[in-house]
Amino acid sequence: MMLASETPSLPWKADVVAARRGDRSAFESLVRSVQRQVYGLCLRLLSSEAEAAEVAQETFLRAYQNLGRYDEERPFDIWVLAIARNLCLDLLRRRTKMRTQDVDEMREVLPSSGANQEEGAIAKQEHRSLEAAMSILSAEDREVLALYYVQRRTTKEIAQIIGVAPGTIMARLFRAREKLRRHMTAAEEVQ
Amino acid sequence: MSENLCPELETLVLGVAGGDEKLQAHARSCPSCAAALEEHRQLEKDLFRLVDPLPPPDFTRMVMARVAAAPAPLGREVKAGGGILVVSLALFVGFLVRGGTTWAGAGVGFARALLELRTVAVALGNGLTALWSTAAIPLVAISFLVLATTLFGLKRLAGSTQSA
Repeated sequence: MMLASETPSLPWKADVVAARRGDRSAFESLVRSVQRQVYGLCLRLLSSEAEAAEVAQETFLRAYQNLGRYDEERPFDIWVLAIARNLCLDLLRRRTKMRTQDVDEMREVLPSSGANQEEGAIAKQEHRSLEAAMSILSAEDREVLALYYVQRRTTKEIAQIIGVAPGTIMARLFRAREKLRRHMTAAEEVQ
Repeated sequence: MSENLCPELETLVLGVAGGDEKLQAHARSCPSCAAALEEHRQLEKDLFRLVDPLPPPDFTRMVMARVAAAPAPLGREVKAGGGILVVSLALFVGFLVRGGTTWAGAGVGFARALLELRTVAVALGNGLTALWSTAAIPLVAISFLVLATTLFGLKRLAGSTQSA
């Protein structure tokens, strides 16, 4: 039986080592451990379920092919999320126009932990307004909000994923939140 | 503190979050700043209630199918290639050390193959010359077609690799 003090501080390390030796089940275990975060980030950045699934799959394929370059002392989820983010931004750059149909689909799809039956229709409506306002923001704003509030990542982790100085994250978060607040206020005034 | 001295909203929000006592005191005494802070707090509360969606049910299966179809990671290929090279070199050195008679026979065989190859090349050249003098146009047309098809195929292959 493993004691608490013996609990590995790098839980992904054994699977990474095994996957490097060609153990596909170890890699599958790594995929399962981070697939929700990866798909969630892709969906928030791309606003399309089909594209998010495709890019998330591509992310894991790239991760598998580049496992040799991965430093297992670094968190595996941070490394994979950085790959996903880069692939999403590449796709967004290639896009010529935003497909509003997909944005509407996303608003229906993205869940909320608070929008349960007890809270009812008002909470659901508030949740939809929030998602709708978020979908209007730029990809840079969406990613920082998604990583901090949805995935509950620290500013240091976010800085590692998006490749900026940790000290800039709080300011980015404030600006994104302020834009979101303005969008929501404007939407409420229209209604 | 007068309302005219209200800080920028960004300074206020980040300062209060960072524990700036002066800004915290201002927020307590200024109703408009307190209201702005409260709005941000409420928005943060709502944002923290969002969760990541679940990926499609067959997501893991699709990923593993793509992994299975993908070429082996470069690191493993390089290691395998290095292993094969080392074994081949060891065998070569072993044969070299073992004796000269085997190698003498191999050398003669190789020289003979080279001579025969020369004869084959000359015959092939003669054949092509004869073909050119009798059917130059069809030969050019077929060569062009083969070249164009090959280039198109390579272009498609490169495109699909980039998009993958």
